[in-house]
Amino acid sequence: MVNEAQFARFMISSSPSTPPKQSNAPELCNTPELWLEQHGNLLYKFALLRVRDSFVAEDLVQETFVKAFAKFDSFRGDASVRTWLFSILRNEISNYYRAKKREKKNEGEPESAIPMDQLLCPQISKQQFSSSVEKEEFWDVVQICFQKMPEHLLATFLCRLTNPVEKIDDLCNSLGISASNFSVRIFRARLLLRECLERFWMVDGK
Amino acid sequence: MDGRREMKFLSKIYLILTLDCEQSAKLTSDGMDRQLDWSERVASTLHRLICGESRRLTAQMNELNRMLEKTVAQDGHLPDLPEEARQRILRQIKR
Repeated sequence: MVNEAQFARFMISSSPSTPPKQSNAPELCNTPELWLEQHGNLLYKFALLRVRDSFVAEDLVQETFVKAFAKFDSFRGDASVRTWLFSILRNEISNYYRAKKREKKNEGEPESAIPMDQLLCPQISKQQFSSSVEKEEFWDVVQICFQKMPEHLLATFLCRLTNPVEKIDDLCNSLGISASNFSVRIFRARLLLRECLERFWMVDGK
Repeated sequence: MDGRREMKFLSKIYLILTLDCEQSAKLTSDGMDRQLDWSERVASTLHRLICGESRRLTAQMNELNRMLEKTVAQDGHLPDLPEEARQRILRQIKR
């Protein structure tokens, strides 16, 4: 589908976005293996956080890479390749959810209806919270809470979480939202997550 | 020109004097993503001094953020892209 010249150009332009962790990788990554090496794991982890199903996550990552090659001509180069890949992946994920929603009527988004007062008032003490956060099943509870969060908030939140070193402006660009919109979304996401965890642990009896 | 600077200064003082719980929580969240300016720092510190709930909320939000970042940073927690899937993707791209 993609000719050699397109492919080579794609490879060369993806080199500046080499993640700092893998600085031992060669300067010019001229094989698909290296390119997949650089971004594959991160994209997969991101997808996994969103869909919780490893097979679906693999499919989404595959679709992302295939699309990236097909659409390389439309890549303007004003964001890093990784940011660009992430935006394609996010699109894939929302398409996936849209299709799923069509399949069965979703149960709505009850989490967004929680009044602000409740979100701002912690019911458990700092010590209780700290000890709960340290528990083994912390990540499982977080996953459950992610599922209940409205899509757009979760996307923003996970984008920030999986790209801790990326500049906020770049994240906003890739999400297509303004900086103030970004901060409001991530603020709500953090409040919802904390409240959800707290509710879970209170029901849990601890 | 000078008037604008004074207005800016006054709005910072206004923020310090009128900060509520929601704004305080918002500043806690913003502080995780960017450097707060002096008036924002003073405002949230003063607010937390007189508001126990905000104090607790800030502590819990920070704790949660720390744990999440730690969990995601630990590479082992989420599996890598399986080798078999990697090969499949490569085949797809090269096709």
